[in-house]
Amino acid sequence: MPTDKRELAALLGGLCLFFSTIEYLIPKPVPYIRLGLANIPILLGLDLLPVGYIFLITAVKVIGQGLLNGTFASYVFLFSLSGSIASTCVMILAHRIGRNAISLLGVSILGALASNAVQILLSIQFIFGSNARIIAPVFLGFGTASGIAMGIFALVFVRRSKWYQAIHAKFSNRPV
Amino acid sequence: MRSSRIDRFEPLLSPGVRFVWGTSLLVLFLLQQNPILKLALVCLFAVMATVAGKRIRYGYFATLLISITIFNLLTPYGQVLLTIGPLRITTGALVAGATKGLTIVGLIFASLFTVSRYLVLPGSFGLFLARSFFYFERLYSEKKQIRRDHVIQDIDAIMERVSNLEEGETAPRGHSPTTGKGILIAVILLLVVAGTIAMPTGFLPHLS
Repeated sequence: MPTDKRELAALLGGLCLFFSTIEYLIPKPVPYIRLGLANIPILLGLDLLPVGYIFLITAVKVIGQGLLNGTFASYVFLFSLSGSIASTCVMILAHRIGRNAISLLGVSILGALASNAVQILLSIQFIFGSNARIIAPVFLGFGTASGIAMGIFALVFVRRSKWYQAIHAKFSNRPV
Repeated sequence: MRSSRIDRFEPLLSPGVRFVWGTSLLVLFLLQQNPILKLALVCLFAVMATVAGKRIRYGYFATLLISITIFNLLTPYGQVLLTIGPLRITTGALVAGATKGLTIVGLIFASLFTVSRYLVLPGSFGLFLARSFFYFERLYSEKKQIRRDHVIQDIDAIMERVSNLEEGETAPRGHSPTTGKGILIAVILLLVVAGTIAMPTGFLPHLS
């Protein structure tokens, strides 16, 4: 069992990299669509860790993915970094401000939408030009669907996982 | 990108030297303006990524290249080559779109052979990342324990086991130092890529 918050953050960072590798192994029909499995540990950490550590996990997720997938020196890294920072900021705000009003499902959907919105803006700016607005609704639609899927996974995991409940009892004052 | 393929650059170049070398190639690639030579460099980078043990999904990259080109065709300029219904395919938009697509695909290929997973980042964040990699390695070694119909239960059990590992341990980050052969190969490839920029292009078809 992690003894302090830094160790727990490192463990959740490792879990991000694990999920990101699993996602890489799932074949994708088109280049722009992804599930966002690596966001699950960030959702799990929201209730357990202070904001600084959540950003540290996000940094591990983005840089670790770049090192593992070899995209650290490419535009993919810029997209991943911007999308992840936007998504983490929105998820933290929704979780902190929403408190009991917004569930992990809502937080996950908002995070996915923020990430997709930033990536669409970047693709308009750097890749496709203004014509990218044509695919924006499709992209946001997939983003919402993946946000729902990841949110449901996180909700079910929080309720069923004995490991999470033990960690939660140790690191959080809030009920599960 | 995890792969069971052998990374043939690993015993020749240390991760740090490899990163500097790869980013230098990447900068030279960005300086290349001729689309035909850019295509040649993309092919070279694809070969180098394969030598680095990375599996390239050509269908994925072809879709990426084609979609970027198509989106650029929606803003026509230059000589009209073909008209398909309301869409005018113009030389300017076609070349600009293909060049942009090639640049993006080339950057990804270059990144694939530039970045070693053993690259150690400096400072306390580097140590934190190493600790996360330690947990990642342990989690990944348990991957086969996850059954499709018991995903949550199995991940929960794995998290319990991995959480109880000793503190202070870090993932093995062993790698070879840079060798003379590695430096020779790196310099030759740098000269080849730099040579394409200095190369006269008068004999190549003019595209604009």
